[in-house]
Amino acid sequence: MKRLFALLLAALLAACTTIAKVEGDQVVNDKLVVKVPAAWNKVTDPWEHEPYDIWTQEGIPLDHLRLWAGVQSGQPLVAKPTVLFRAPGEKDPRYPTFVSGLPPDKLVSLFEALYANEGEVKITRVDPTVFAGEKGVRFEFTLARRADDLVLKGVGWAAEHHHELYAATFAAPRLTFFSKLLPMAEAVVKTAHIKG
Amino acid sequence: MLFDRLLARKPADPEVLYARGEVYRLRGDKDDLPRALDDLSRAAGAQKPPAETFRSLGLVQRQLGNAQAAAEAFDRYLALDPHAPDAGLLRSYLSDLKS
Repeated sequence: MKRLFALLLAALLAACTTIAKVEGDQVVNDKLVVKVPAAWNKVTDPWEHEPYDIWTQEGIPLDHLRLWAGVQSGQPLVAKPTVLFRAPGEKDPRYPTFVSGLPPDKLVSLFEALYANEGEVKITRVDPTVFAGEKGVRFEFTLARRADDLVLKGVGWAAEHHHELYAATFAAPRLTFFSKLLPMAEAVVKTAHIKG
Repeated sequence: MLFDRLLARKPADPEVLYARGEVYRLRGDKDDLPRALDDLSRAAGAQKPPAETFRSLGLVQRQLGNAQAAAEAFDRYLALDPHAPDAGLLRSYLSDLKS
């Protein structure tokens, strides 16, 4: 029943969204430039302007690569709830808000809180990294999604530049899809640089 | 409220003190940082505290600018759990704190 509900919601949401193939040089929010060696599908909701781009290979219920660019201090990471994977009767999700000057561990907590709206999140690795040319943090996580009992693996990258947040997350089912698609996500993320 | 009730029954329970301190640390509202420091310091001084107590204590001390106390807490955490998920990040914090 839960699976059917999720599929119906997915179908309903799909009716409101547009999907376009993206490859080559792409600019996210006019601030973050990435090179896309293999095509991804960009999903856009015409009714909402989210602070991130969301791309997928196999479809949003399975995998997604989200790219945030220029999120300002005091701005939430999402503009509207991700209703796609919420079980019936769940409370409204809480939106984590970026605040300039957060240490890397708190940046990870933001994304942990974001994904916790969909299910149980466990952070499995956190390391310093360079993302988009800035010192930042790379983290790995698992997400046991409530709505369809699927366990996903994910990776995230985050850094701050001039008091703005730049970040990316990739998540896919841990069996097959994650290991197959992660290199494609990493190929995009490693090219990220801030415009200007 | 739940933590307060549990601590009323057993005031030095390190697991409850750690849990409440971590909630304060993550919430980060006004006055939360001193409350987190108090709970986590008490947990760290109790018998058999969770290893994560020292991680959270180090993060709070680092946020307060207490480099030596933060480094000591991170050292203790990594000694207790050298393969912790966030060991890589905390070793980078340690390197900065000791430089």
